[in-house]
Amino acid sequence: MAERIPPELQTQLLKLQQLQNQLERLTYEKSVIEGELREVNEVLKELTNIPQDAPVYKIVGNLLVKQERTNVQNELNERKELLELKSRTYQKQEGLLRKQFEDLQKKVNELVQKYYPQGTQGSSPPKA
Amino acid sequence: MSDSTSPGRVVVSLEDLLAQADALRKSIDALQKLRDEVYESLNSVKSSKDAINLLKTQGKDLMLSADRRGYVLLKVNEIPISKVLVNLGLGYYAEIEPDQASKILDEKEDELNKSLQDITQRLNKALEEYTQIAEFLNRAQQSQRSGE
Repeated sequence: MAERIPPELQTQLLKLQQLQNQLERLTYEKSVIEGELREVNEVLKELTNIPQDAPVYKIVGNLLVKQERTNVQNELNERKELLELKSRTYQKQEGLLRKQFEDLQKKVNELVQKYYPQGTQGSSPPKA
Repeated sequence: MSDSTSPGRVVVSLEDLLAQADALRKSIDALQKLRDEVYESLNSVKSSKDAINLLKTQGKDLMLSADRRGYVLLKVNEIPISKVLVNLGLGYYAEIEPDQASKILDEKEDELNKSLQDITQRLNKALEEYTQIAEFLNRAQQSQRSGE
């Protein structure tokens, strides 16, 4: 027959699962932001490599619209700043969440040791 | 967590293994999709480079497809190849000389090849882990059958 997990341990395990889900979501969002940032840097690099007199266009729907290079660079630099800010925020959040996760993991391990002590031959864990 | 009846042995629940296998399966699917997308981008970059080289060497008497399937072809006598429009990324294009465009496309190709290597490595690692879990689950199933 399946043993019931003590309520205290069950609560902490649920919290741990929620934290893990939050961490996964945050990591994914951070990777998306970093991908965008890489792309912005790539375009800015290309803009500096091409001749100054080369016309620059932006695709708007099905049309290519001519743009002022300085406007394009300003627009991309603004976008870059915003993405860097987001990235730093996500990094801080990730650090905090990771710390919480590790602390809770320790707590869960302690509870496991408490309810399921090792080495006590034949002793069945307490029923909740 | 060690089993209380036999110290030193690690007990892993089948539910945990199945959950792990499921997560790996999802990861493998995502990586395969990503790899296919990168392959597609690489092919596009290569065909763009080929087109530029072709126009540089023989810009006369070309047949252009008016549609994707090539149902209608247009005969073009001469295409001026002094400038081409190249995609810089994020929907921005620049009108530059073919040689400069080729250079940009070369850089893009290198970047995509690096990405492809990275994705392939991650995919192989995930597949290896998935195979190990699958083998373990098969063994567990067989031992359960023989125990019945």
